[in-house]
Amino acid sequence: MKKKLLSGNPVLLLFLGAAPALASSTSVTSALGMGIAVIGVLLCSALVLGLLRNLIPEEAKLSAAVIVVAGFASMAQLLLHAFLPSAYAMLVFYAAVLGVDLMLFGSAENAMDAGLGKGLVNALVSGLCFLVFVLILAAIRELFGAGSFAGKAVDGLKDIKIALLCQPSGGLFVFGILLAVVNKLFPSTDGAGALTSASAFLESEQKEAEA
Amino acid sequence: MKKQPVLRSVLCLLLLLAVLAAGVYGINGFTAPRIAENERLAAEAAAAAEKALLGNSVMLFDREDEAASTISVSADTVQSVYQDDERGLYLVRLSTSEGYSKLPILLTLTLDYDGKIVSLDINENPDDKELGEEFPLSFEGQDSTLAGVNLVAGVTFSSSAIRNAVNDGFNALIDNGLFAAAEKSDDQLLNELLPQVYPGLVNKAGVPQGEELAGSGSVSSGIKAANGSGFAWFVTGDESLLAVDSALDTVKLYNTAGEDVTGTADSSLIEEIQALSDANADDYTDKDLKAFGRMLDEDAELTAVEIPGLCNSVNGAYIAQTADGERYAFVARPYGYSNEVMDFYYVLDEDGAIDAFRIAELIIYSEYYSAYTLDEDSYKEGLLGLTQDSYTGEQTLISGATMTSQAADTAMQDVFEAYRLLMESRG
Repeated sequence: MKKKLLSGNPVLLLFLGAAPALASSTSVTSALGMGIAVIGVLLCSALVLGLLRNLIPEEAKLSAAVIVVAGFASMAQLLLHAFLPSAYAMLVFYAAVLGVDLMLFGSAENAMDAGLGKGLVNALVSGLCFLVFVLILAAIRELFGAGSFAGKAVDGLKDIKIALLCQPSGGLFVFGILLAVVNKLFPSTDGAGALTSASAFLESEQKEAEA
Repeated sequence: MKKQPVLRSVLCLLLLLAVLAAGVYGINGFTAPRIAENERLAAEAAAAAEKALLGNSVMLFDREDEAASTISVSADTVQSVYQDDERGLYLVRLSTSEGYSKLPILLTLTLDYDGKIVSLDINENPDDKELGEEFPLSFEGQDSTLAGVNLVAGVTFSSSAIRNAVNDGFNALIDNGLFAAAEKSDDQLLNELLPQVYPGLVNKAGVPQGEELAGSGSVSSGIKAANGSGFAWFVTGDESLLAVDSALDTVKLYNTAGEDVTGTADSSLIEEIQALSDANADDYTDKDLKAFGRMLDEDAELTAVEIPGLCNSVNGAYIAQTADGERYAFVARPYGYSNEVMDFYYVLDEDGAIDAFRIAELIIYSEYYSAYTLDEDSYKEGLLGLTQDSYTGEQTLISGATMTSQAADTAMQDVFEAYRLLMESRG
């Protein structure tokens, strides 16, 4: 689980879901909102596609994944707008971007291959991976970029804040640093580079699904 | 037979689409009233906040309802003025589009009846660059002179826009006799005079660009222009004066009322100022001659000249004797992107038309985020043959490079002005 959350994290390893992650990580509050929305969409999509997997023809599986994810992303957006208007106000555009998030499509396809039970577990784990990553990213960016945490100013940090970290370029910079740290702490067992680790990871995922 | 799997896929997807669309429709039906209620509550909260702010204020001016206004305001930045007798306050709503992004910056200025700022709230700032918390706080307690308000380094366009808007707010109340203007110090008056009498020292936002220098004797301090166009010196004594020592003209002295008092000034003061300038001046002659050497024929002889009355961005002027006749070479150094000094070299012919043009780095490529293309050769060709009459401003325009375009326009206009004054001085 630890390996999956960190070195096996689809965001860090395969850069899936990096766009909404980077976009919503300017504050911890918006990151939490986005993370919860992602977990919700992942679980609902996995449930529906897991139940219907035997009914959907092989040729139509990808299209079905797109339709289901887009549908649930739209529902998530509406529910956020209605019940968490303050979080929605921070996310707005980023919530709409969920409908084109590759990580969600990948997880949905996996649910159709692996079955309902495994699909739900994978969806939950992927969602948690995303949530952990985006919260860590948001915490760093908000603390050192804005001198606050969840909107509350932190004494001592306001004077040394680096405003660039709240800009898109700053987000990519922090992302790169996180990637380097995780790769250093949890290198792949054969010492191979990131791309090789990524393909090995995908192979192991596929084997797990087939099993 | 092959059609069956395709048909089945299409039907399956259509069914899925229909079910999900129904789901989204259902959720929308369930959430729409709640969203509408949230928006209604948000609007009510905003109205309540506005009411709390205005209290029992009386509207004195509203740009959208000038017929009902009891005072007249000319400045476009002032949107509305309210008077709150209970709290002894004036509330002025301001909107300025002179910031970096040219999008409206919305402000609320609160003043007491003595003409002092109680608070300045920046309600909306679309600019990316942060002004910081200290900037709006620096307005509190200030009177109409705004003596204690400094611009924010790196955000000069937006902070200057806000300062000017607040100034408009003050003027709106002062002009209508609601309170008296505070007296500005001599230093302030002279600093405000600077952009008018020495445009070569300031950028497009009117902010001086240069190094502060210590003075000596009667001269308390000075500014050395970053573009080498000259110096501004502040003189203290019986009368506070501003001395402008331009690179191509003699020293000029101005009093706090903006009057040219050079003729009545002590010659020893003028000598003192010239000595200070000479001690701090940089010599651009070698650089200029090298550049013009590439633009003129080998046998051209260049003689440096002074131009009386000139103190803009032109800091080098030469008369060149060439095989084709007399030519006039000028160097203009306006402030471009990020206030970087740009070197524009021009050679004009006897009719004042541009004969040659040169610039080392027209576009500071590393400073622009978006992919950028400009056919520099065509751009430069388009400037040849232009005169002061035929130049419209459009010829120097570079799409997507506003500050570079402004610098090129400034250089062009300043060079034509330099040529005109040179011809006038030669009779």
